[in-house]
Amino acid sequence: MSASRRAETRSVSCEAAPKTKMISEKIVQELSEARKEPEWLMQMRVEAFHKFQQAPLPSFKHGLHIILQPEFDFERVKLKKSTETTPNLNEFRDKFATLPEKDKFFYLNLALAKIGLARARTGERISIELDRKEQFCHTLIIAEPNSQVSIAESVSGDEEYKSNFVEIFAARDAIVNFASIQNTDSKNYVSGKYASIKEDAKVNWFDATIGGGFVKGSVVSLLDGKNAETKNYGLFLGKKEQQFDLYSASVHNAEGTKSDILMKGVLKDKAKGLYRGLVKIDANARKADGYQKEEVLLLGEEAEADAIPNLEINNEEVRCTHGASVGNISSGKLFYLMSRGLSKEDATKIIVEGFFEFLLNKAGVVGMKKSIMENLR
Amino acid sequence: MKKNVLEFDRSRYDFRADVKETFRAKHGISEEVVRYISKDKEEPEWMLQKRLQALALFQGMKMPAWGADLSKLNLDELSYYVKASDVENASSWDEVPAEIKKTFEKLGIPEAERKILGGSGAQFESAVVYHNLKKEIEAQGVIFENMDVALQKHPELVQKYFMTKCVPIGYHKFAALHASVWSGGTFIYVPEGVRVTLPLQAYFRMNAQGMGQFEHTLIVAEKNSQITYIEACSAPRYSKNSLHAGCVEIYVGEGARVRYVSIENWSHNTYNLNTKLAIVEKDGIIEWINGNLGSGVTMLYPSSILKGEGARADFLGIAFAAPGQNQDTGSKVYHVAPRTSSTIKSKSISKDGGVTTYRGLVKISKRAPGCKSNVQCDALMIGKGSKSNTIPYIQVANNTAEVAHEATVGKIGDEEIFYLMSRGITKEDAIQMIVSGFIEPIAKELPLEYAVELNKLIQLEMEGSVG
Repeated sequence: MSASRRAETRSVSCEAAPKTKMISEKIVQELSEARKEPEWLMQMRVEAFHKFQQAPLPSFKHGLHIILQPEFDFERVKLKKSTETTPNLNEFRDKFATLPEKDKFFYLNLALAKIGLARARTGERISIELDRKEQFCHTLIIAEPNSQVSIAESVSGDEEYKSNFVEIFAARDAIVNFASIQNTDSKNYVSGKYASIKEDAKVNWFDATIGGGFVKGSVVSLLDGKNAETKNYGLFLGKKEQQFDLYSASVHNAEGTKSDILMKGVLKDKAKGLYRGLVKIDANARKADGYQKEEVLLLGEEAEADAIPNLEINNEEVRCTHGASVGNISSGKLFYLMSRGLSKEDATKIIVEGFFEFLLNKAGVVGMKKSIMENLR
Repeated sequence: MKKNVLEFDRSRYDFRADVKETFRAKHGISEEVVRYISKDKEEPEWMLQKRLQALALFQGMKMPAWGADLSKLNLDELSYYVKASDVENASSWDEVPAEIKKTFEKLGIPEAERKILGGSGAQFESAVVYHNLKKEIEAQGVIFENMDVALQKHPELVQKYFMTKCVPIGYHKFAALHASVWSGGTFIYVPEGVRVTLPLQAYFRMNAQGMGQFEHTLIVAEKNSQITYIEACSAPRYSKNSLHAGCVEIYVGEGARVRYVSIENWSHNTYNLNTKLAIVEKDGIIEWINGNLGSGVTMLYPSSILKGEGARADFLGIAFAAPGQNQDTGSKVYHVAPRTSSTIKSKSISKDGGVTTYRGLVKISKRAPGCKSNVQCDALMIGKGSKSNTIPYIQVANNTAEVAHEATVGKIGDEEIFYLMSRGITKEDAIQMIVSGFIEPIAKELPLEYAVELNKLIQLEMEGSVG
């Protein structure tokens, strides 16, 4: 009893009155009812809960030697209930929760998440700010033809476990910009962001990973329509004993599609960052153009960086390039700045700022620059 | 029939009817087969024990769940010990597929050589050259022997190095299989300070070795020595057996330099699951030059363990995949000592539905400050349905490391072809010139005759690819 009370006072940020309980099928049903959800959605949630229970925990083993060992104990996950009414999803039943990679985390999220819906009708322009204090979020973004959606997301909180899934459907000629800063104090944070991009549409991601003890994050663009485009920019900043398992992918399924992945990271102290990237070009995606780049600065003496930038090309009429580099700040650069009277720390800070500056400008998130730079210490 | 080992080995050269064994190893692998191989070779007890231990490991290990598709490889159908007098040499020239015969013709390979490459020849005598070379290097204390012979002549050396520290018998499933049924191969020992200037080539006595399914190559280069070993055969080699699981172990001593050149071109019915590993001591250098042109499925990742400070590994690889081929290759480098460096340069060509994969690893351990590594992969896609994958693993646990990786995949640029054609070159020639240019960095590292052969071979493969 006293334990639950402590949790209550800790999670003051939550909108609805928080209660901690273990998760069960009954709770899933109750939540769905309280949110006034239709029968099909409740059923979907219950099914998801069963699948969650059956699904094995992903192994976090990538290749021979690259292994992360997060501690997941779903028994310890304390549920913060939120009972806000779920928006009407009937119209988007065929789109909701159809993202291609479904694992244990996804199912748990689907069973419990607060569902958000953003819709831009044909020709409409909307911009939304999302303040993610919820423990489980699932957001569906529908950009109808020729519409434009801009989303600024900030993720905070301090749960044992937190997850956040986003699905974007960008119809013909639509433009979606999704910028996110994640700076939670949560012990485990799992996020999955997916976009299906139709003919001539564009989806631009910016994803900053700063907080979280263990973070598993995916940002995936499915280029499903002719001449669809995506920019997938991201950065990560690891400190202390943080562990990141980050993944970005461009899947070219149609002709003339274009993708650009740029991921930059700084790892300090004992932080460990694993980054996987994928550019996949389908046999039908002729004249596709894929680019992928990752750069990591290893500042901490005990920091570790792993990179697996994959290319999977099933078509000869393409141009695809990737690059990855891992290293420290060159002593030459430091020396140059220090010879101008800067201390080593200041010089390092300036170089790191410069390291991110290009990315932040390129991603067009100058507004977020300040809060990111603050985290550089 | 009791016979000594040297006589037995002769049979591989001579193809004499009277040494023909009655025993033919049964299909599939069993303790009986392993014991037979060991007994037949009159091996010391420790080798038999090693084989049996490896067999137990092999039987307990699972097939790899990654990489190329091995589901059609039926390990129970293979013969694991093919004596020189049996299947391989006894198959007649008529059995060699017409396609391969045609390639021989086009490459202008001499008649006698063709038969050996086809696996049906009895003898190819470049023995004079070989013996002269051997005399010269033996005077310097260099040992260059067939692995089977070396085991008899230099048991202590072999026992010390054979599948001990470099490739342990349980390294992976096919290394274990290799350890239990290995046969033939090459043993090279270069004493301290000896620099062998002429490259040693297995080619000179290729019917004696290097043609096996499970041949073992062991190179020990002592302190400050230098050696180049070429196991190249760019003309296609036909073998009835569908599995090739060789093993190469290289010990590079302090300040030593070993260059290992291998061009493999097995016929398309072959699974080439080879293991190659080098341990490099302080200031030593290992250079891998690796070409994979043939075989239906290749899974081969020459690896270097940079164990001593300042050690270096250079890898240069080319893979060519025609329709139906899956070349899954790459290189692994473990930087475990300070200030070690490595470069990996991999080139691949996928043609008309061929699949190439670069799969590699660069690992920089915590204890190894000041390491540098550069990986570059270029893939050329020609014709419809070709596939190319690049899967580089980079693992850095030390913040003083500098690691860079770069990869490009693409087809031959229209502008490049147009430029050459505007100079009066036909489209076909233009494509061939561009492809030759693409493989140039590899070809120029090969001895002339191989470079010429490699170029010719690629040109042959490229024939009719315009359109």
